[in-house]
Amino acid sequence: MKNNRIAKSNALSASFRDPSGYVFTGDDGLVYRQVNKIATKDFEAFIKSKLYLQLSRDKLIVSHQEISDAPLLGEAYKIIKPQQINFISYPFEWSFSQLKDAALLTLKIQKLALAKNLSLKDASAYNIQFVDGQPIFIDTLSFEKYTTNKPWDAYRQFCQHFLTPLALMCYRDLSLGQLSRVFIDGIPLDLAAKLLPPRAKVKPSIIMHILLHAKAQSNKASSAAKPDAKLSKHNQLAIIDNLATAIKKLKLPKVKSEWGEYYDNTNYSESAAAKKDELIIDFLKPLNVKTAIDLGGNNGRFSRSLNKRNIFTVCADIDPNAVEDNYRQVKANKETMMLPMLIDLTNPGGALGWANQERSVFAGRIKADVLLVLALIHHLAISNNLPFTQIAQYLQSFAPYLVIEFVPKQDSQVQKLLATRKDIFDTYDAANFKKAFGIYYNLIKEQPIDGSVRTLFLFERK
Amino acid sequence: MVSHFAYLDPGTGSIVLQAVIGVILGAIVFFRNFFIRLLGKVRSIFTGKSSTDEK
Repeated sequence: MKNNRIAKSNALSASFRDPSGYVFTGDDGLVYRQVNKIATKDFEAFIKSKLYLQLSRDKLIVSHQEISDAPLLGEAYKIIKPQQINFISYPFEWSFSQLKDAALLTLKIQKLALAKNLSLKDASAYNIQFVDGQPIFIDTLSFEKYTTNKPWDAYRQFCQHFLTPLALMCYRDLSLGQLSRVFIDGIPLDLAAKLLPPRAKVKPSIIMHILLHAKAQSNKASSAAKPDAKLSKHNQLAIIDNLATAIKKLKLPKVKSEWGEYYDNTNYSESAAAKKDELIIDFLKPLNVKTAIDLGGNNGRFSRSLNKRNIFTVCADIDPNAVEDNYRQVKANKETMMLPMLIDLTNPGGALGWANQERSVFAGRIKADVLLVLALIHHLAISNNLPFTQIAQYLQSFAPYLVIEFVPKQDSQVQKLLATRKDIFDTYDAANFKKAFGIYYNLIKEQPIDGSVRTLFLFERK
Repeated sequence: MVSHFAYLDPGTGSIVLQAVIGVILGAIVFFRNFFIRLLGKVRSIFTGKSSTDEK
């Protein structure tokens, strides 16, 4: 492997806090991880104890290969090549249950680690990604040797990254998960303590891990020397089990959302929806696509038709209930070709952290062979007042092919949008739509969808 | 003993809290397991008795 002119500038921009090593992209464009010399003992303990073997065999952690012929410069001890992840998603882009499963995985891994006398150094939600429909731990360097009776360093981080957002979403409001975009190291305990309603504050686990925990953060002992507090392994496991039980019990209230019963309330009869399905597949057949992005994909209704044809789909929607519904289906049916994501396309997250570079923008991370934009254009152009040219310019960054459904003014859904506002959209029509998209794309196919007034288009990026 | 490789600031308060709630939760776990084992032994004693009684 010739890339070992590893300038730190090749390092992934979030990978700098842990002196044990860092993640970087090689000349081949693949992601590698360097293990530094100071991490030798911990890394070898992780391998020799067979914890890595156990976790990777059960697909709880990404597998990796050691690159034996890589020249090792400076502080490098080993270079490893982890299992590559094609679609990176962030905790604020997950539904409630995705975050819940990520939390439970973290706790499960800590339990398994303790059994082998190892412990997680950190419990960041960014240590988890979703692969083949399931959460998986990606931070191979997060394990250190367990020091007898030492409390868990990552306990506070776990509570802020996982427990506070889940509790706030469950007890206060589902949209509070978005606070994770603002608080990059998790929602602070004291803020959560202030926002939680009384009925949450009587639960013992909330009292312990959020309320008392928040109080404990105040200055009293902070200037003192490091406390000698001891926590036996038995007691640490008791805390971890308590956290796991508390998180399992957090459930979403059944909420009627705008899009929740979307497919019952649209103007698509089952047969018209099936025709739309067929048309999409027909458009895609000659293209040999392996991956797709479905923007505004709701609960994955049309994404699943692609999955059936072995096309991995990132299904992004603005409605947390729809994304939750999608993920529940993924779990129930053990699906591996779907990644549900919670995205507001008019304000996607990213560009976070130091220098706005630690966490990257949505369109930069998520690329595929084809982009689906079904039943969405009117929300962008009318509800959000976006000109067609700007929409086209943004969409073309996602994929070389675009399958997009144009929804004309006479459609009942558009009529609903215009019902309470002044119709200033003189240029909202198919002709202007084609003209604007023609700046960035070539039109390949155009066909009306039977049973509706809508038209499906296939474009190829110029 | 402090690990030099733990780069995270665990928060002094969080350390102290863990020690405290660890004792409470640990005790609950301990006694729960104790009673489960006890109950198991009691059950097996009674099952043992009744099967010898019946014959």
